[in-house]
Amino acid sequence: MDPLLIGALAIAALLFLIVTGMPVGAALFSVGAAGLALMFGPSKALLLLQKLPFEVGSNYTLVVVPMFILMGLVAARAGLMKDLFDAAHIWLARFRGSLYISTVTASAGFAAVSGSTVVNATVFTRIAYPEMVRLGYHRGTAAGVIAASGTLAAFIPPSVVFVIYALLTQQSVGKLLLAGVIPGLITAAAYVLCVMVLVRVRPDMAPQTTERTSWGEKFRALKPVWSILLLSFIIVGGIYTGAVPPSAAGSVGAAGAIVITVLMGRLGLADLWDCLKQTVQISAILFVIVIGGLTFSRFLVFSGFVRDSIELIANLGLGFGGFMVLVVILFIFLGMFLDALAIMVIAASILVPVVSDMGMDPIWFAVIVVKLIEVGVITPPVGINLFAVMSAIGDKFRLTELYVGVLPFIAAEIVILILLISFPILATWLPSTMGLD
Amino acid sequence: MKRVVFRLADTANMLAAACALILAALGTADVIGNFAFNAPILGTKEYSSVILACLFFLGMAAAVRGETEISVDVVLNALPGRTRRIVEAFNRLATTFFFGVLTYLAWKLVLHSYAKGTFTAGSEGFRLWPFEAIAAVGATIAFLCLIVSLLPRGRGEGEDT
Repeated sequence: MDPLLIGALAIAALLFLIVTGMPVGAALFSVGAAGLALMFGPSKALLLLQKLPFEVGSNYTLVVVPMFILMGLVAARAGLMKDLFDAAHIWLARFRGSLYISTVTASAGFAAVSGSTVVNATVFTRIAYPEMVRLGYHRGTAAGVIAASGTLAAFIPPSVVFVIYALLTQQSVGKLLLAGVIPGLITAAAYVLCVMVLVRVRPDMAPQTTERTSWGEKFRALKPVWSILLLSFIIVGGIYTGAVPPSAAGSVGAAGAIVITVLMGRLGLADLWDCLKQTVQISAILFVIVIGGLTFSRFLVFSGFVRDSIELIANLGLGFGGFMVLVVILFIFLGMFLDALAIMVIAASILVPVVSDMGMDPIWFAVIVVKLIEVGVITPPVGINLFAVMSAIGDKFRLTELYVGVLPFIAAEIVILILLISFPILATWLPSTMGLD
Repeated sequence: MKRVVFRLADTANMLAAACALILAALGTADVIGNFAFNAPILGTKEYSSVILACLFFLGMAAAVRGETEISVDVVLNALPGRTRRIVEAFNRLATTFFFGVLTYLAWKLVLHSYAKGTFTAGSEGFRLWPFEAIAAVGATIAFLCLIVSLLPRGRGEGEDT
């Protein structure tokens, strides 16, 4: 059978299984393993896969995943998000829509210790949303800004998404983590700009506060924020200078978060134990997805699908622009039905070999992939951040309000995407200046 | 039966949590040793790697027990009752099959490493099979959790017992 047809059937089967509710990791593995078994017979397929799970599980690069997750959970449990939000609110109080802007800046700050967009969105909903509603802010926009700001965690290190992408595509974890910094900061700035335009056009969306705070109060509000700055400095500084490999930076960040929050009296033993148990569960789920993804991509490679896809796309003569338009359409389409990790695995299996063949920078392409995925998590109907915000708000809120509220930020994301595609240096400059590979 | 398996999964969760704590402590101690005393801990990378594998596999049992896997249920929720139950049953069977294969592969690897006497690469070589066996135990507990969830519920047995 034609390799392209085999691959297309496999992808169709995978999409079917995922949209009908099969866990993503199991679906990827089932299709990949079944494909290998059909091609080579069950015994050879098992031989091909025998070492894969333990080899992936004992890959030192992956140490960073549970460590980054632990650091984020500990920081969230200790209330560091609330400290950041309060500090941002005090400093930005004189601006109209200050709570929207505070949510964006605090979320960007917290992204420096947390790699999960869903955690960011959920916790900020609990902290910021009630305060915004109490002060008469527009509910849909309030929820929209929280959902969109959550995506900053995927860009600003430590980003779990970039680590998994690095593993799936054999890229440098350190370079990918740093590649997200500038796009993350640009995104945060664009959200702030978006909010400022919104409240200027529709002043009823945010009341003007008359509250004035002294410089003393402002600096006092910064006091609890030092811990986040320190952790961020250790991680980004360590990776950037090459002094600490990303895996060790993850361990230091997690241990640092534990020590700091215990010393601050914010984390008890029971809290820590709970964070550890949650960490291993989340990590294990990601691990299963990585095993499934690697099995699926092995099948696509062995079937000849990847080789033929490269040929097909080259023969189409799309060029850079045409290919990127195709990629954007593909991601928007997949983002309507699939979750972020499933899309990333498919992208890593199919698109990355094509991108390498076309001579594009793989680090830059990784940033584009993650940006597209993050647009997906705030795009209806399956946007996972939208559901995270909805479930954290509770019953008294309509999903359509949130869809409308998040629209301006999706528009901002599209502008950023065009910028990143037009100016790859925004993603590639920082990693190109780092100390060690 | 279910109670015993879930108790095993909870124990696996605790052991995996301990692995996470060890990883954080080991990595930090190595960095501090390296920078402050010019004395890194030998074998950090090798030990971290196998502890990580234990964390993942033992954590898998906890994740399956907690039913925390990532899935997309938008289409599933839109299906009519009977079709939905059939699709759910199929998904559960396929997921059980996946963990069954994973368990089989994990034990096969243990036997292979034990027979061959496989050591880790790197400065501090040590036998791999004990760690692979812990991983295999984690995969087995995850598999058993799924098997018992397929069994009909006994009288007085709650969802979470």
